[in-house]
Amino acid sequence: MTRLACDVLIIGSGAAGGVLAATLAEQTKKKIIVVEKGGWFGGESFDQREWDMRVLYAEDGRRTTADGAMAVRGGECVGGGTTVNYALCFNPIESVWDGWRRDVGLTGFSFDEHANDYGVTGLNIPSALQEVRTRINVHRAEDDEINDNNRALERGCTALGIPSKHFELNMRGCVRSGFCGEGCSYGAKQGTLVTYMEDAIAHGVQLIHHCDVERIVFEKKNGAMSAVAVNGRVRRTRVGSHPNSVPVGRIEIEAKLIIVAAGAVATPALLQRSHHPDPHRRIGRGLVTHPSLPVIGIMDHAISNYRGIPGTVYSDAYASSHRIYFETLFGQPVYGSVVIPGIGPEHFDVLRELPRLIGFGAMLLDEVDDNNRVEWNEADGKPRIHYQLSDGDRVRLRFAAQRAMEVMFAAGARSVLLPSSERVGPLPRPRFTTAAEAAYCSDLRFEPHRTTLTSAHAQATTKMGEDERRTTTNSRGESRAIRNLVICDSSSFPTSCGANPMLSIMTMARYQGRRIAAELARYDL
Amino acid sequence: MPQVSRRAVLQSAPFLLATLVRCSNAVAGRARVAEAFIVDPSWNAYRPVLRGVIAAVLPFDAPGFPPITLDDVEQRLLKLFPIENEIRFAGLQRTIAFFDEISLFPLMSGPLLQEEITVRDLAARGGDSARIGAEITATDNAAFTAFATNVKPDARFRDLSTAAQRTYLELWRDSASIVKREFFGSLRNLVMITTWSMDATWPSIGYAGPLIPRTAIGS
Repeated sequence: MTRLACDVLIIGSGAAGGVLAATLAEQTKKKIIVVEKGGWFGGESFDQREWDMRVLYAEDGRRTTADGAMAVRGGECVGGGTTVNYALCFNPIESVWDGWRRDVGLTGFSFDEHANDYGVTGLNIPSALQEVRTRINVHRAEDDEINDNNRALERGCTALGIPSKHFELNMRGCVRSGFCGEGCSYGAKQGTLVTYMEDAIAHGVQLIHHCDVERIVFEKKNGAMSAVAVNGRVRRTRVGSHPNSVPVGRIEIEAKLIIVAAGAVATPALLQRSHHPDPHRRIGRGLVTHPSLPVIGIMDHAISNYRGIPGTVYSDAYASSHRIYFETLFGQPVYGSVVIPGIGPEHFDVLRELPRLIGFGAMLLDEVDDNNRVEWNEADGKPRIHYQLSDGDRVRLRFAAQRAMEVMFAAGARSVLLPSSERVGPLPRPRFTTAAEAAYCSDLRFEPHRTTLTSAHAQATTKMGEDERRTTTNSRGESRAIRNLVICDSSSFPTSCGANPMLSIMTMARYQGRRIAAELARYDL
Repeated sequence: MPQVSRRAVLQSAPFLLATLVRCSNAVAGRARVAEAFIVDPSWNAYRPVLRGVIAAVLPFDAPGFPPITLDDVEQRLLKLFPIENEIRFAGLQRTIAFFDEISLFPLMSGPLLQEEITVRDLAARGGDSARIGAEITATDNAAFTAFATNVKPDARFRDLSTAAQRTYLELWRDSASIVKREFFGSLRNLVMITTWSMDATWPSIGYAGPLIPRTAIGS
């Protein structure tokens, strides 16, 4: 049994945990430990093979909803999602945060750059955002960085009068290999693995990886239930990972402040198995995932698709009206073979067209439904993710599918298909050869295991705000039931944050890190 | 294969449809099925089924198909997903045996229906489980009846032609049961992941592959 003690224990090293660790290490002299469930794989380990790099993902990339129908992708490695994502950056959206102020009474998080939230000089969202943007080098994709696949979305949108934009990306010195989802072999993607976690370690933070946190220990202290330690187990370090800082085996870490930043699936599951009080049955409930429908077009000629920066062009033209984004992405062959529907010759005839394929996703900002939830399941030894589309979300996805099909044809596709075996109109499957057939998308039902949806943006399972009946933490992220326990990650958002979440999470974490550094006495530090 | 508890199976193999393990109880009274489920099927019992699935999912004889054989895919699949050696695949093993008994396809009762109810989250969301069960049975019976006109009543999947195996797989794909559709998807994706992660398949689909050599992580 390894026994350690520290001032601040941070669970998770991703978009939230990495930023919190570096911020607290830079701004305080406290002893900080970061525990990470996944391994500490560096760029030199990333070999651009999809099967090999499954080690970077939760459940080896096979985490799905409880019905097995939708992948719920998430990074599980040092850097978390920021190690395996496509480096797509959206600033926090002020109207969304204003909505949270109205709906759940959220306080703080001022968007006024002159605000001093909680009396802390210069603490506000614009300043936290700017610090993060600078550290991870957020910049708009340049014209010469747009590959043919991204050009196709741009061209299709333009032809139909739909505005499109270039993504902002957190990269530095990108070599345009196309392997973002397998971890950047070149250290160009500026995730927390190569930025904030490096900063944290340089400032003396201890990193423990391959560590399963089994539960947080709560004890009565000075008359109030407080988080005092975590129990867990350190697994054997896998091939390709840096060595660990502690031996394999049981571990107990005492801490004065515990910050949970394990992501929107693992965070509520940890609270549930730690028996965190939940009088209003809020923990894990109201999950949103940003379900995405892949759309595949076949061109007459070869293009650049799996090489080049995968995502540089998107359209938010329907974000306000239908809560839909079109975002260009392209995968490698294993992903492609799974997304392309069918078996036998029907499947191979599409896959062999790989050099001529164009692809993008229609991503839905889904509604909050309390039945969509994460539940720790003791028998499975892992969380169950119960998720179903609402009727309203189905309507929006139908619109998105039809519009996406039309964009594909306008971009020059000779045929377009969806990853689906659903019958639409007179067609046995949604595979179209004219734009007029796109109208058949109104028949789509998006049934589990008939139409493939994917997701990678789980959020909103441990919501923050001031409405006690609807949130688990206050606006500082502090548990209402347990002292010295802070939750800060994508689970903190009360609803979808309105776009790809990385930069919203990192900004929130920077903000909370600065606040905690200025309010140490609040946590007996 | 050691005897394993259901808990161990469920703990270890949800992605691979451990769920269908439960339906073994519903059909254990039938002699051949009892053999398949009560006694752990031997490697030889499910291997022909797995080979049939691979041959149905991959068109080895299609023009331009990669220069790989069914044996290549089978060996790699069993390396990536060690069905015969690891407890987490025990559920899949049994499910493959169930899948082989094609006359059982329309079955939707007892524990299998219970699993369907769980997957549909009816306890939390409401819904008439009896009605759903009846609808699934009616739909799948009709589909099976149409399929079965062309095969012997007691045929096994392993004995069908590749064309008939594809049609049978598509019965599962188009089933009214989410659980059955999931099993189709799991089998299909096992074969897809196995095949298209092989370097030897890439030239045939115009994929130039990674830009750097394999590292220790892939060893």
